[in-house]
Amino acid sequence: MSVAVVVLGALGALARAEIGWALQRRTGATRTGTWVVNLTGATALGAVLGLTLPDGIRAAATDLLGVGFLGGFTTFSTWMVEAVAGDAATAATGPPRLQVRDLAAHVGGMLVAGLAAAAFGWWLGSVA
Amino acid sequence: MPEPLQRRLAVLAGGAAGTALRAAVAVAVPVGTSGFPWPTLAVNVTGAAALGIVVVRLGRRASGTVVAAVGTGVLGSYTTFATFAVEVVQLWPHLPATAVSYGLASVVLGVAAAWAGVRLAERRPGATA
Repeated sequence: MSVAVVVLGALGALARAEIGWALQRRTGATRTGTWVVNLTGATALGAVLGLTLPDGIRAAATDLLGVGFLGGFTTFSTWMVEAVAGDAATAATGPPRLQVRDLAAHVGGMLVAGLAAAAFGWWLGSVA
Repeated sequence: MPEPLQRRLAVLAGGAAGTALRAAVAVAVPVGTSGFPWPTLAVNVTGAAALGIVVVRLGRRASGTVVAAVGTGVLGSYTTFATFAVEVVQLWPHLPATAVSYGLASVVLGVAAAWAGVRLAERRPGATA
């Protein structure tokens, strides 16, 4: 862990927040923002790690971008709370609205799409 | 209307803390010879439970700044989706059983943790609902 990693993580979090706030204003929900950051973030990390890099640079990129920026940019917890409560903001305003089909769609959908994004990113990096 | 500066600063501060916590867990929880990504599983499941609690208990009572700091900032950064997804993809060619068990464990335990967090927070007196 270094100061640079923590600072980049903070910036990643802010980028996620800005995207989330903007989309929440338009859609009224948090999940569109979560989709955007998680899919772009998974693609980006896949690409970075798919590149052929000298060991030292690879380690630095993994730290700064993987642990740092993209670690802050993407989120697992918000995804999970959205799955069980419908939305990460309105969960506070009533009993948890567990809809099993919605949960399955949100979990399964983002899992499949996220893995595809990471694999696609990896491929991009490997052919770059 | 754009978010107030205070809320942005809250996210930055929380994001720094969450990232540092996640990095600390990566040091404390070794991956080990099996290749199973225990550190990422640990932060993602505990973070999901914590966010479930935070969203219910802080959602209406705390200011938007506090929620931005703790929810969006700390817990959003403490957990990670990108590392999780790439780890599954990296494991698949060489350790497919580990890739599948890790992917399934993450989502099953993650959902259970978030659900438990929300329910627990709903039950205790002082919950907003």
